Amino acid sequence: MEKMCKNDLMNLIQSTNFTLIELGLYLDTHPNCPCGLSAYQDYSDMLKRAVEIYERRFEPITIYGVENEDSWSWVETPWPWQKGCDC
Amino acid sequence: MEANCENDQFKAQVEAQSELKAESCNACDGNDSDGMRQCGAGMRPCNRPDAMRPPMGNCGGRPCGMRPQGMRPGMYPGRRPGNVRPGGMRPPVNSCGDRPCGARPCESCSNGLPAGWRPSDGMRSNSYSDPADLHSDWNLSNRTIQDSYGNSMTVGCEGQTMTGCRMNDPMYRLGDAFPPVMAYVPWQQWGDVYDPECGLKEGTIFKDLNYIFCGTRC
Repeated sequence: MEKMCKNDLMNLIQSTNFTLIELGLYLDTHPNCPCGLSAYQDYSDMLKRAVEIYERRFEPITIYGVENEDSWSWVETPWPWQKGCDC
Repeated sequence: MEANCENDQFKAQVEAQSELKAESCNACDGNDSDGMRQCGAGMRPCNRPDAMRPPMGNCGGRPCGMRPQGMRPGMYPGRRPGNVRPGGMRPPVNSCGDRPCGARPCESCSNGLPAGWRPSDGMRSNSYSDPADLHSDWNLSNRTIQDSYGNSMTVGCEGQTMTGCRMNDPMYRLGDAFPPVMAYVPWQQWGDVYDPECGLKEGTIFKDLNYIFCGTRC
């Protein structure tokens, strides 16, 4: 995951996020399912790690990911409509 | 994380999981009376990739894409499942409004229209004794229905053509011949799940909920 390019890493974040939503819907009706709970925990850990790597290597994904040390990086990177594939 | 290692690991998992599918976790079948759903002694690992980055494009032997979430043949997008009618030729049947519970349905309800609505002139009858009769009567033209106050509305699928798998779908061809029923939705059990990328393409991560969709929107 550390070596993935920016676009692949974002795709991973988006697909993992979707997976977590799906698992959440499943767990809404199966709150005690050990399989669903285990899968949710694993993919949740994966998403957290992917987001951490992406924001550290590239740019904040949400405003909460801004490292406000020297400057406000939130406005320094392209907005979603300005982004293109840079892989 | 090396892609080759991940692929090998995932392939090994898929092979192992395919053998274990018959014994996959059924701890969540909703049948446990004590509410403490636990996998039995024969529980196997869940059918999901453990790799942090599952390989791309593995959809259990089927190509990715083109299959919206949870859609079965014959379901219209945009309609709630409870309102799906096999024929798609008339609006959903509503309750009879102020009719007491258990009372005999009023005439307007019994003809398959919402309460207070009646067929306008030229509307075909909905009473079929033989589903085969529908075949010659099948059309997708719009129909106008009218309420007791003279208000009218148009329903139907005018301009829509039946082609391909939809034409051959017996659910569509039976149309209004289906009697009212009480629906039963099977309780979902944990089964095969796609890796995240394939799940996003398919519209669901649950293989059991992934059906081919051949319908079109009205």
